[in-house]
Amino acid sequence: MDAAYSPSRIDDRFSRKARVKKRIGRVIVYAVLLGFAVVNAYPILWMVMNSFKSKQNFALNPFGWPTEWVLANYAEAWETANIGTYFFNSVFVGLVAVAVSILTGALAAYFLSRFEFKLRAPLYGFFVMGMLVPIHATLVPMFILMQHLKIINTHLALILPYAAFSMPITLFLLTSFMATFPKEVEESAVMDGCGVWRIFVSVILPMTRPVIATAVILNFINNWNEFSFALVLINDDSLRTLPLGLANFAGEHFTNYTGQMAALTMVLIPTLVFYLLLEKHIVRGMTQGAVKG
Amino acid sequence: MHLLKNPWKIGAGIAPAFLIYTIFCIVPIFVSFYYSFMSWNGFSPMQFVGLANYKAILQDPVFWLSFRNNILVVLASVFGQVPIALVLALILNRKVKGAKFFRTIAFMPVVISTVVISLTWKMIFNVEYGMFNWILQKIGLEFLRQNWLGDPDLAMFAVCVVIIWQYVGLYFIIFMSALQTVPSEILEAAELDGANEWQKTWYVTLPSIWNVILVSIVLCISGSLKTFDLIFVMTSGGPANATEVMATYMYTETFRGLRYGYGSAISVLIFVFSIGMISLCMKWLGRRVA
Amino acid sequence: MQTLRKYTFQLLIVLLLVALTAACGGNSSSSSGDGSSNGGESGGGVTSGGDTDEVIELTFWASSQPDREDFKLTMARVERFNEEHPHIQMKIETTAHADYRTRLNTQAAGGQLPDIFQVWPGAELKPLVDGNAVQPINDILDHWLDSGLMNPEVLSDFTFDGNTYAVPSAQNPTSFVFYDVDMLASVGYDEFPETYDEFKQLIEDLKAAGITPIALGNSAPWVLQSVYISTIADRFTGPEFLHQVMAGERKFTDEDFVAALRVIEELCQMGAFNEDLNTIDSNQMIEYFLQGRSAMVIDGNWGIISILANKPEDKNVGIAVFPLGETKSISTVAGNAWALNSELEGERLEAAHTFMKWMFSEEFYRDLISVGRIVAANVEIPEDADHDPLFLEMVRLFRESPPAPVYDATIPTAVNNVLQNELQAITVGRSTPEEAAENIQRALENM
Repeated sequence: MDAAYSPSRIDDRFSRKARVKKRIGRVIVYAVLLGFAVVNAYPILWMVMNSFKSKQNFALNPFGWPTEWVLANYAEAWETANIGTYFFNSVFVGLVAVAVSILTGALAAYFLSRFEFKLRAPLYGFFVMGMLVPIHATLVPMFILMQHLKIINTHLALILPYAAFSMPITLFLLTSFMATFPKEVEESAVMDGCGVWRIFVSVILPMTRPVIATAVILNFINNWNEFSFALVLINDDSLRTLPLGLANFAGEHFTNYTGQMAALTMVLIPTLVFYLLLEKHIVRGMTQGAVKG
Repeated sequence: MHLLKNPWKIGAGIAPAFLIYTIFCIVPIFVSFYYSFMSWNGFSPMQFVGLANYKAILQDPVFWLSFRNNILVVLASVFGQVPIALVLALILNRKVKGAKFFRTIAFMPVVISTVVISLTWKMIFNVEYGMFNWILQKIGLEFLRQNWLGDPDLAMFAVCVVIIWQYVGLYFIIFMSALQTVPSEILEAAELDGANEWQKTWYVTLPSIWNVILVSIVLCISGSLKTFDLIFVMTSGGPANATEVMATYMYTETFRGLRYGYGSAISVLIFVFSIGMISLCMKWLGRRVA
Repeated sequence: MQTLRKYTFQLLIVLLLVALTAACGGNSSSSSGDGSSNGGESGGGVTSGGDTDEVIELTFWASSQPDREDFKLTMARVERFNEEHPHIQMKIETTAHADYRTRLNTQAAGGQLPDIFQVWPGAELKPLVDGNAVQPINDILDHWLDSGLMNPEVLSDFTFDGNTYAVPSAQNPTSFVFYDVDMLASVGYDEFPETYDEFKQLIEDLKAAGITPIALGNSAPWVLQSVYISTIADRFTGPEFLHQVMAGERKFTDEDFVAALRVIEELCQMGAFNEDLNTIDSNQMIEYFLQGRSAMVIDGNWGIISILANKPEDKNVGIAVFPLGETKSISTVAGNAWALNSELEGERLEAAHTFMKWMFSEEFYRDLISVGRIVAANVEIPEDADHDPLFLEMVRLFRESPPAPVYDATIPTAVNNVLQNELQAITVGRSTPEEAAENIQRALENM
């Protein structure tokens, strides 16, 4: 990157040429990035724009700017999607499930990646197998299982499957990361007399921070959007989660799109905040880890 | 790797994850496998029919069509999502102005609701007023104008474009986090040896995250073979089954057609195909690395 | 010292997990304490509500229809029932329409159906009857039949082997042509065409004037089936056809049914529809019509609601019956019906009967009419009601027309799926009418 400022400047002409070349390269990179940004931002813009339209305005002109800004859509959407109640449920279920899967998953990944034992490979395969299963195939069995465990219609009935279904990807990511750490990282700790658990908490976990942040984001978003289990395992209105509320806008023959867009906009904000909060750990993790290593 | 003398510790470490995962993920799957040998509509009692469901599926043209479409999704994902995400991650891992903004924007599609994605992309692909055809017309390529989602021959490709777009962000952040583990000393050393950006990327960065790239490919394959949401919302498998994939077909058969046995048998096949494909892929890629 | 620290950590993790599990377990069980009446193990979740009186709680499931006055009315009426009957409480649970069946079917597979739940007529109700999930309501039928409030024919789609299982609230005629009066006038039509040939001429004239004749949104493929084929095929085959096919006396490959499929093919080939018919849905086809992008749209009676709500002030909308054949039949089916769980018995069953009789009363049907619904009962439109002329015209057309069966309410779901796919295939030239008919017949025979 900074070759132009290196003291070994041999030929002025050469370096100017290189600089021009670099500038062109930079322009291309930015053009690509900007194009990419536009394509990615368009759906959000469209959603926000239409969330302010009247139903008639949307029906007659789904593209343009709103002719009048209907803030009432948001109030209506809040009611229809029952965001007041469902929001808390979604946050609670989502976060607890993430906590359970990350805590147990990281611990298991530590043993699977840093230790040699007979059942290691089969266990790893067993865990990863879960990634291959279409969630809808398990709806009926899951319902019956929850009935037998007598936790149907409770938040636990969502938390446990969410944690279980995020286990494979969590383990998969964490194990493959932990496996790349050089052996030396533990050796000094062992010399200091640290035990297995201690090494996990104070050496391995901090180093794994970027990927834990990644896993937390991915799992949380999955839980946040999960619909099918939430549909069949919860009956009580006061326990339902947001995706069910968001489905309330579609009837048999009509969909209240403006209301739905307003609700989706409101629901998008917390996920964005969540992402922004964790994203810095994904990136910053590097600099800190490097200093340590 | 260490040899731990006390197996109880290993057991205690793995047990919580193992128990939750086994009870709430594996057990339901195996129950579902059991249903695949049954004829059941969910209301009347089950009847054991042996392999009849499997026999019927293997002769079902819609199933094979959906299988073919799944393969297309796998190819599009592996050769679309992974390289794009990797390039993006490599670019944005450097000091680029506005990197944080672009990183966030890159991840956006993963967060946006499938409903919004499907509505907006349907508009982009619309034959009459869609942006895609409009652009083609503006740049004088009107003969390329197509009914992208309405033509059964093209619909699946249009859907694949959206699927690529939707999940680039997922692999992007996985690669981002992987890039953070590339030891900076080695990069600095390479720089001192006079390596340029390309050489550093090719000889240092990529090899050290190769493991994660493999992981991503596995995620890609397994994710693609059970892809459901976007297609279900966007085309519900139409027109004329042209965009049906195995998971949507399984869902329709199970919950609309009330054929639990048949649906379960499809999910078993999804499972088997995934294992087969992933192990083939691992073998091939693994050998290349070695 | 060191082992102690080690154990502290182990303990900590275990404690954390236990705390988490306990926290959420405690939280959810406390807030769901009163929600356990859902059948449960015994199917009898009688909860005692007071010290002296027994309150019978019944779960009531409905598929929700946001922004629909008739849905709001139905829910309000259930709530009024609760107010007027302190000893019987209906616990309402609604689910979005698209997901209602998935939820119901899953619960049924787990043997835990609600007490009173919404069902769909004919082919969709059959598996529930065969699987003993619902119980006959023959004992209380007199309430509607003797009073003349309902005709037995209305109940026929809910009756199997002489047993009736549900009470419907609405009639759903599925096929009306809505047209832009001024657009038709601009190409020289002051009246809507009476015959199919005139109709085709109208389509040609509209096309010549650069107007898309009919807006169609078939991405969810029930439209061509429910709105088009159910009515069009009936004009060729007569209303007994489907029952004869099911009984094996006739076939989908018979010439008259194939001729009906040919109408769809013909309309597509002559360019009667918008080009994106397979990528837009039934919401959007109404929007196209309202935006003035097409001269006509064909939809069920429900279409009128969104047309009246969203049409621009100056748009003149007319309504007609699809012009084809001698009898101007309209496919129709009774809907929005509720059935009783087969496990209800004793005083819970009595409570459910009380509810059904109170719910589906003359007053309810009159209220439904007043919000623009065609009802399943013999109730006249009140003279003083403030209805749009378009709605009154729709009711008049419906009453004049002989009824025809709706396909998805009559043939098994698996066959209907094939039919809908084949209709889509015809629109894109993937199947000829003959091939489509063969595939549909094969699906039926493979059942």
